Amino acid sequence: MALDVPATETLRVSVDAARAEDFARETGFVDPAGDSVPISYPAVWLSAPPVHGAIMRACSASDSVPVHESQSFSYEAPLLRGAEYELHVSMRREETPPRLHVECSIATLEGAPVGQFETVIRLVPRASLSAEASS
Amino acid sequence: MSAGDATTPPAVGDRLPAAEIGPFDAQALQRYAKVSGDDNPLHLDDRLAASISLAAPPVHGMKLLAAFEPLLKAWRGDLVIRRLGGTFVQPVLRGEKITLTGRVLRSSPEEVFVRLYAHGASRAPALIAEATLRPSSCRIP
Repeated sequence: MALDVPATETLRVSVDAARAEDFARETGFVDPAGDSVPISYPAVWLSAPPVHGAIMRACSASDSVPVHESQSFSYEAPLLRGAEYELHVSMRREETPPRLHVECSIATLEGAPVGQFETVIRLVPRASLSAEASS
Repeated sequence: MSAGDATTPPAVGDRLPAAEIGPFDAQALQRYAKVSGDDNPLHLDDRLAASISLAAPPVHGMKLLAAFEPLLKAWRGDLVIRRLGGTFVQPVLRGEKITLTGRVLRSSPEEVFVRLYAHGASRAPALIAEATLRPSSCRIP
């Protein structure tokens, strides 16, 4: 099945200070100095319309529910509050079982590498969920 | 090893002090959904959860994975997390307490590798994760 989205995309993203603080609070991140960014903060960039839209289209095309299967983050340098970054997003689809791999690399606007993160989403057909629930 | 012993790497087999988080209620999941942008209704809709035989909506897996960062920082604040990743094995449901544990699998002066687990009410782990840490002196500016 075609992914029906651009396979790669580069976005301009930022670490919004208020959102980083809210994210830290909701994930138990403790930072007395108040200037660090949780390493899992880039998860919020998955909700950027081009990425979120692609995930939703993949689900819609297969009448599936997205289930987060795995997630990883790795860093060469820490994220900074208030900073802007370039996010290079690459997506690919696996068929057996149906999965969507979202691979992202983070770089400064000058091109220096900052980190990567990878999200694997299992596309679970709604029909199989209904069958499991009724079995 | 105590958190204050900041000069030597942990030993293979060292266990992180277990931590308990949650239980998370519907408001907590709503807040996480709002701040993260992960508004998957599976985590928020009781009827949808019930339709797939879950007694309650599952907690966002990312919320669990993210909780390992404060655990690791509290254990060894002199180490910097270079990598954190995990596989969401089974759901932790809203209202369940969650226990976070970890153990050092590899250790050298340059790098420490820790296996991490999150358990909900079930005996089987809900999340199996791993972290790679380095001394803060190795941090790339």
